[in-house]
Amino acid sequence: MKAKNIHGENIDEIKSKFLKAVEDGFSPAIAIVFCSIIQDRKALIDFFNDKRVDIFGCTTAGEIVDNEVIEHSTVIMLLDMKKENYKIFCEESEDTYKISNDLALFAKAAFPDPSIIVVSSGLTIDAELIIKGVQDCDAHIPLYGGLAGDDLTMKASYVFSNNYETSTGLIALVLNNEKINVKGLATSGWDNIGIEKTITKSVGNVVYSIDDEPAVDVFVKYFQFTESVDNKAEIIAANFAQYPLQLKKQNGNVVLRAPMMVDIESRALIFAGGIPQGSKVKFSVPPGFDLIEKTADRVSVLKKSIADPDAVLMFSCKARHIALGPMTEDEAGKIRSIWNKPLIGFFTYGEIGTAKDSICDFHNETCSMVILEEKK
Amino acid sequence: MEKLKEIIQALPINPEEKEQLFKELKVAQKNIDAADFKYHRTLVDKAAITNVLNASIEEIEHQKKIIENAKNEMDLQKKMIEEKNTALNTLLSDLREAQQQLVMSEKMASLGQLTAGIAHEINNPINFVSANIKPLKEDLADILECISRYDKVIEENKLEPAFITVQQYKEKTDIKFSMQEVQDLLRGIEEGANRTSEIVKGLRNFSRLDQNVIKKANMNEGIESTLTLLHSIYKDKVEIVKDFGIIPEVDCYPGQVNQVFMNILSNAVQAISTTGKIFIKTWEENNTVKISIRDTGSGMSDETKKKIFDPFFTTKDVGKGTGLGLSISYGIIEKHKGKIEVNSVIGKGTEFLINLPIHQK
Repeated sequence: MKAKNIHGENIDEIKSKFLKAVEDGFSPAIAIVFCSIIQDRKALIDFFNDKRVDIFGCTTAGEIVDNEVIEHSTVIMLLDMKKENYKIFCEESEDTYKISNDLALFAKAAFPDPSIIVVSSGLTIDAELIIKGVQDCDAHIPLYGGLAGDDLTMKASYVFSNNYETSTGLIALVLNNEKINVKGLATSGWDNIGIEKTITKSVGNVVYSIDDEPAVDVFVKYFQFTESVDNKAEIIAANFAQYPLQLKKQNGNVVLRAPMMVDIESRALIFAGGIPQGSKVKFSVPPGFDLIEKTADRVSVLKKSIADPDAVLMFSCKARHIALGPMTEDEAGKIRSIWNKPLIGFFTYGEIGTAKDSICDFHNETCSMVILEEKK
Repeated sequence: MEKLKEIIQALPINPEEKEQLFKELKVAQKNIDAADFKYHRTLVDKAAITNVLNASIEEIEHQKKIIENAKNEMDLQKKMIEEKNTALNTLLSDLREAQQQLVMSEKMASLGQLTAGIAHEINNPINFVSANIKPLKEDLADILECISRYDKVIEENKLEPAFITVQQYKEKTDIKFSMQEVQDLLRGIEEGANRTSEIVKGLRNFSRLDQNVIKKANMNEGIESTLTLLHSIYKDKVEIVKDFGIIPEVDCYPGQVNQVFMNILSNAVQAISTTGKIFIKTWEENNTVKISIRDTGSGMSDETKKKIFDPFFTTKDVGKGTGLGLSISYGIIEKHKGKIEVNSVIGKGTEFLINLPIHQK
């Protein structure tokens, strides 16, 4: 399988680069598209429909292509994967669990041994229901992906395909494991700090109080330095998101939950993942800048599984981008250099993947990698 | 940066060299941005970490204080529980003692009633016996005198042949011995009746049924009554040496005080394994009557001495002593606002010294 990356700031640039990419007779079957909310998605969809190329796409909070981090653009990985080796699933519903369950049924019907790469829209969905929906149907289906972004405007994020776009649904690339090798790993590096606190009131991913203090006030006390929270999303993203809460779940997994939005009226924080009431949490702080080397080392264990993949996908948390700033590009570069194969990714509002010595879960603040190899 | 770009653009160098310079400028810019970012993020993180750590330290100190307060509270509660526990144990011990004393006093009351009943029943027939001994002796003396006079008339009038069969019968039955034996038997009956009367008197005195009423009683008499009852157990091995003073009557529960004498004297007798003496002395001193009961028995160690008034403590073999006698005695003397002390030397003997106030207020 051959993979080629193209990227551009507008549809004309994309069109031009696509034509250049296929000059040598390369004939992509599917385009993995990650684009800014400001990009003209309709023009993109029309273009790929015209070229009879399948689309697996979503909006982002920043894009990654090979060793570059860009914003307000479109990045595309073109793959000449055999059509019989993949299926695209799209479904729109407020009932995340049900459509995830439907996804698993679809995958099992499509292939005897499937893997799923899923991206979901929706800023306030409980992404853990995606995992639960799939695993309740079949706990052995490997699952990777992330939540679509919207450049931190926190208004709406989208997933889309050839004849489909929604801000309340998901899209999944279902792969035939018998033909396509798929492996993944999520790695964080955040360290917990301070004493344990208790979530005294929460509903889903909305946390109202921590140790009986309004959640916003707790974060403001520790992490707001100059700006006012009245600016809501931007301030949260700038100040709070890189200080996620570390949560030890009942299944034993330790996950991070980054605050993404504020509800000023109720002084609640909306996190990029559920935090059950009564949970014990700790604050966590971004790692040192040696994280980039550490992440590359951790990810490189995937080489043991697939030494020479055809393509690399990266789902990296937006809060991680904020915490690492310009060094995020170094991280992408380091990871790309492990295999020296085409890599695209985007900055997410949450990642679905498997951390080391763990089971599949919904994460924040991770760099979640997926590598693909079509069997010869 | 824009100024630098303009300068490079204006440089008189070929386009490749300019391109190279622009690339290097871009890298330099990136490095500057990265350094600037690192610097600011380090400052921000430092502030955040400081805030979290300070708050954590404050919280830990607060929690520590709460734990210390809780610990102090727990210590206090523990102390109170221990005190209550001790009080409850004391109360339990007192209740047990009271229960045993109640059981014992009920037993003693029953025994007293029984004893009084027996004494009463024996008293009438023994009075009957005692009262008849004297006339019987007089009647017998008259009969013997009469027989003697018959013998004298026969001898003086030489009437022996006429009374030969009587004489033969007298010889056959050894009438002289019988006449002597009758007198001896009568003396024995008299002595037995007197002794029985003494025992009955002792029983009645000892078992006084007026235990719950304070009465005036003479301690010498109480001791005498007790000795009478104990006579059979000490008569063969113990000599009682009495030194009774002239003492006033004492306000007391006589039955209970007698019980004390009984317990102490019984123990004294038992402490003498072969033969020995018990010295009993009474005297008046400072509005009290003092009673000393000292034996020449085996004595006891200091360790035993400390425990003898404890309920259920006994040095006797299993089943032979309840361990309550002296405990009850101690309680009785305390109830009379008196004192009971003990002095003992191993191998030499033991002395109980009882102090009873003459008047109960």
